[in-house]
Amino acid sequence: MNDDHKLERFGDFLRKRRLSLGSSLRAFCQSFGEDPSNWSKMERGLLKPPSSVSRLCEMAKRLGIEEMEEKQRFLDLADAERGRIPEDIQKNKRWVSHLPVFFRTIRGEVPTEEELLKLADMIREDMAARDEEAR
Amino acid sequence: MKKPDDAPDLRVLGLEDIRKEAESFRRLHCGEGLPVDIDLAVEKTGIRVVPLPRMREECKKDACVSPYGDTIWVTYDPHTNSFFDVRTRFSMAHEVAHLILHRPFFEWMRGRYDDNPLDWVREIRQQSEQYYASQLEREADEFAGRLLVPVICLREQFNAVLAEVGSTVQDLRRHNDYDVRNRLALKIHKKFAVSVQCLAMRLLLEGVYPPLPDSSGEKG
Repeated sequence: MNDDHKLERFGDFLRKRRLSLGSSLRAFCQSFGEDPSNWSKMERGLLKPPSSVSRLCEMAKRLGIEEMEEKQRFLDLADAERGRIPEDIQKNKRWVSHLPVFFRTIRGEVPTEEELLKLADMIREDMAARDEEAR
Repeated sequence: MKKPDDAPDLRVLGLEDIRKEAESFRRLHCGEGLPVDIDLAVEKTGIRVVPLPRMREECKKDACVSPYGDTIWVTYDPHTNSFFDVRTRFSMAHEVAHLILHRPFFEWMRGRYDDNPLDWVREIRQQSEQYYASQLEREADEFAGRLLVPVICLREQFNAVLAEVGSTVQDLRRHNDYDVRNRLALKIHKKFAVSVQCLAMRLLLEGVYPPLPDSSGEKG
């Protein structure tokens, strides 16, 4: 997984994926009985992705996402969109390099001790920097 | 009503100019097949298609280009699925026409946008009618018609229907032109995914039926 993938917005991914199938919003929603207004809102980041994994898997299937790694990325992006990562964190390369730990954590997987310590260090440093800026 | 001094002067476009623009757009973005996939073509150019609830009911419009030309709003009613009807396909092609043919008008109107899409739709409709009468709409309709109903395909379909029913143009001319055109349109319109009315209009405007005196089309 490279950094570009981590930074991609769920909605952009949805739209790109749909268009790569050669399917317009109208054709896609008509084929699958999706509500075009809601789908369009999700693509534009105005509506959060569903939290139900089975619904997300259904969406992934409709988008032709079958490979395990890509499906996981799709679920990660949906998770990240629901609790959207603030822009400043996304712009910070150090944070971005630790996002896989974040994704695993929100999926309920246990990160290693070392990963957690690094993450805690970063949070401490970031908070200290913000305090400094505030002064 | 007199046009404000800062409103752009838009020259009246000739039929052939409009048709050339439509053909170019189709060649560039739509591929060969029927029906013309106007939705996908629009989205592939980077324009977003956004369903806008109740636009048809509240603004008497099926589609509209946003002030910055980056979005086409299409009417949407979850109860009637209006987003999916063939009228909205024509309306999308019509809005593409405005973007291509009438960009200065949109740029002039932009300052009036106040963040409410439905207000923008009402305003742009009113200003277009007030200062340009129906010129802009007529031109956009011609573009949309030529884009969705390529004339070569229309002639092919027309000749196929004649062959199927074993008739000639001379046979048809013994009947009322309007009735014949509508019956032909009823048989052909689904191929192009346009309404019967739109197809009947294309048969007339393209001189396919009734044939123009100098038409190169099928003479029977």
